[in-house]
Amino acid sequence: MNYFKIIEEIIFNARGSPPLEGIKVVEFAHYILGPNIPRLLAQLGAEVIKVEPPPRGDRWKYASMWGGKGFYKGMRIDYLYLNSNKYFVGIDFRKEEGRKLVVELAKRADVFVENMEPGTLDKYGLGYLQLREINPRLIYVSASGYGNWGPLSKLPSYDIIGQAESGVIDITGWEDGINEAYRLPDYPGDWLPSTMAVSAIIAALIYRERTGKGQYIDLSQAASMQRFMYHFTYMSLTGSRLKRSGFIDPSAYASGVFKTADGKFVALAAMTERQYDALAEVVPALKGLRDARDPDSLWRKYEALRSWASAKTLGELLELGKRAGIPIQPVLNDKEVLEDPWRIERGSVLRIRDRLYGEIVVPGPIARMSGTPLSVRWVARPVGYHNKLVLSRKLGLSAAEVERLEREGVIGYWDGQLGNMPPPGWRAEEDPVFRGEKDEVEP
Amino acid sequence: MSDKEEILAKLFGDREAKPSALEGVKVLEICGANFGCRIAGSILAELGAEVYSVPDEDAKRITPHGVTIEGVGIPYFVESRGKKEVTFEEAKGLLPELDMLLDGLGPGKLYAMGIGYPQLADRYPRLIYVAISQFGHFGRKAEEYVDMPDSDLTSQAYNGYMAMLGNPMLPEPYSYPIRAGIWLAWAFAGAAAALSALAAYWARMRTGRGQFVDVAVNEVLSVVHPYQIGASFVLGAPRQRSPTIDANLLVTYTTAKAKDSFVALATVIWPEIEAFFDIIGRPDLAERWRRALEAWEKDPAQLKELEREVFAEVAKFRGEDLVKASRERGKPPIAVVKSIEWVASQPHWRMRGAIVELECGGRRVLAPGTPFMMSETPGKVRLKC
Repeated sequence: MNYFKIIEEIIFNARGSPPLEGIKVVEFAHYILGPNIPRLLAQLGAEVIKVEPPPRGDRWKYASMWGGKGFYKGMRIDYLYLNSNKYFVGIDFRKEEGRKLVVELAKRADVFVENMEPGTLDKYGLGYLQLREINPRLIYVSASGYGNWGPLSKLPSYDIIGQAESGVIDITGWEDGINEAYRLPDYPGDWLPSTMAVSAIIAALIYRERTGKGQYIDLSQAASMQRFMYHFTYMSLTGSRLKRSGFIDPSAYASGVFKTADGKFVALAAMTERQYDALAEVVPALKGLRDARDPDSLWRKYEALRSWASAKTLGELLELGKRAGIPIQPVLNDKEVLEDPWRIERGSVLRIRDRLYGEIVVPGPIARMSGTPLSVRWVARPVGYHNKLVLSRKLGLSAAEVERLEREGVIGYWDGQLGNMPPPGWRAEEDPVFRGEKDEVEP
Repeated sequence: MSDKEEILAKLFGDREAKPSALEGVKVLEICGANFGCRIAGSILAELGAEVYSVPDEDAKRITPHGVTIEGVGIPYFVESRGKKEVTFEEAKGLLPELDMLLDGLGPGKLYAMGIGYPQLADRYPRLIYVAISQFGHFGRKAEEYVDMPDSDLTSQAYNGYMAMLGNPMLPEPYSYPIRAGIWLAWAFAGAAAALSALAAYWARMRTGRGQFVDVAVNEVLSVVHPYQIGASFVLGAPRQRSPTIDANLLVTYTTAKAKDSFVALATVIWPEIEAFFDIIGRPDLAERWRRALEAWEKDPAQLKELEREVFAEVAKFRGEDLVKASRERGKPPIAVVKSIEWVASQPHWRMRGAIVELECGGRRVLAPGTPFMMSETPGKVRLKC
């Protein structure tokens, strides 16, 4: 059997519990930066309870996308993905009894994630310094634009602010005559830092296993972006800034985005001398220019490649890339990503059957693991959907107590607005999970 | 400094004297020229793992405009943090004591050298083997592209990310899709590999068993970001690039040119949008924007026209004045787009270790630090000249 088949068998026959099974996470977060951390932890098998003040909770769910076309059966599609595999409780933490419920959840938790404005949770006794007193093993994560201490820590942030403050907008795009500033699309100022945070959290769990100690993780969006800016080093070595270069990777020997003879965009990057030499074999105009790596030379090489690539089809270029060992790939659009047979075969575009929303296409897990497979089991729920399940099964409250909390407005439910409702046709009396009688996925 | 800030500064202080979370974890990286793999090794090193790295001459030369430091390229230098270099032969000798092996060479390459996962799994059942490659280590496409190495640029492209970046209204070729100014696809791949390696390590603490982890650089960015898949799933069509107003929210969540600088406008929800239009003295735009949004599918030009009006207003203000007005109102967050020179000079980032300064042959050199601000086990850069 060849190598690929051996690995395929290992991956497709993967069985077993997910790696973080048994880890308990409380999410007190909104928008993307905070919620993506528990999303990934839940994908890795942790039990995540998302706490929201009813009836609206995390306001990100209401943001209108694509002129209101972003909703799928009443909830926004990206919100459904971002909050998959989580349990939703609606607790009014501004009421003392509600606050105490959150404290109870924090007592049994391993990880607490929040991204409110720095200091907000302190007012409710839910800040790190307060919760560590009741649960010294807790790993508490605050995610914010600048971090919770330091001269800039008080300033509010969103992805785009983190981008602006980190310097990443300043290094993206063109210069010399094109005076425009581009935000990186789709909010990577949230997605990248939150993905980075997961390593810190698991490392903290590993440390806690050795020592019994919890800790505080103070995540800054901007610092997480700066982690990948080699520009600081370039600037201090050369005395000048690394200029923006559009689609050209200044670290490559030759690179860029090209339009092919069949009208497709394609990216090419000769990152090594060998790749460049192989390219120069088919593009003679490149010969002798390999070691000229200043901005003007990179542009000259780009122009030589551009005129050559414009006479080739995408298929021809990919064949060359495969044959000669040069990185060449198409610039895919959304639809091509969604319909990519490789992604469907691999499971990065995944069709799941959600108990509430039916058949739905979701992004697959972040990695494939042979011993502890990851999964997306269900998508988001509206505010308070798992109140009964969480309070009775996980906190051990009686049905009468849960009813009283409901009556007194300590816990509550969704408002039924677009973005915060169960799918059309849903009936409470026919839903055992809503009633707390069954879990989303029973063993 | 408030009491709380003082407590926090103390809590996070004295970083070098504190222990690291991953002390005793042994990692070997054989990455070749795959920087997604090197970044994964660096993340583990920042968190305290003992990381051994097999050097690669090609990787050493991958650097902006050929600039080197200590005889190697800048990315190679920065990602050598906390790592010890070993030869391939020495690396093989480390296998019995290894917790994790990071393989960035491409599918089947280490297998051909006798140390692929299938060969190691029986001998070292506790080993966590993390493969980081363009299309993964299984499936038809992985096999078809076995001889094509990966790159950040081509992965930004294949992840559907570049298709949304740049200004299609510029003259060719400036109108083509452009890259994020950092190695975004490699950064995501490195982060994905590190977190899944650690999850596997956590699982091994329970089960005693290692496993195989497969990270595909051409996949990670587009499974973490939900838009490439989600937008086309509900819209049935690809989104269009928008260099200004956000292509998802279709509101003024954008950069804009003020009188003296670029500003970033973070208007996400409607109260923030209204506050912003108030700040620029055009409250009338709120209602018109709302109507244009309703008509967006049939008549996207209406939004474009309004966008021009907004930008004309923003251009009348100094950037800092807009920031000040937004802070007085409490919304929306607005920031002046900072130059990297400005960022590098900020004490905030130095204090937090996000940017570090090194002494290299009598020169002071800056480098990206670590974002792992942890009270008990802080991330450490461990980068030396």
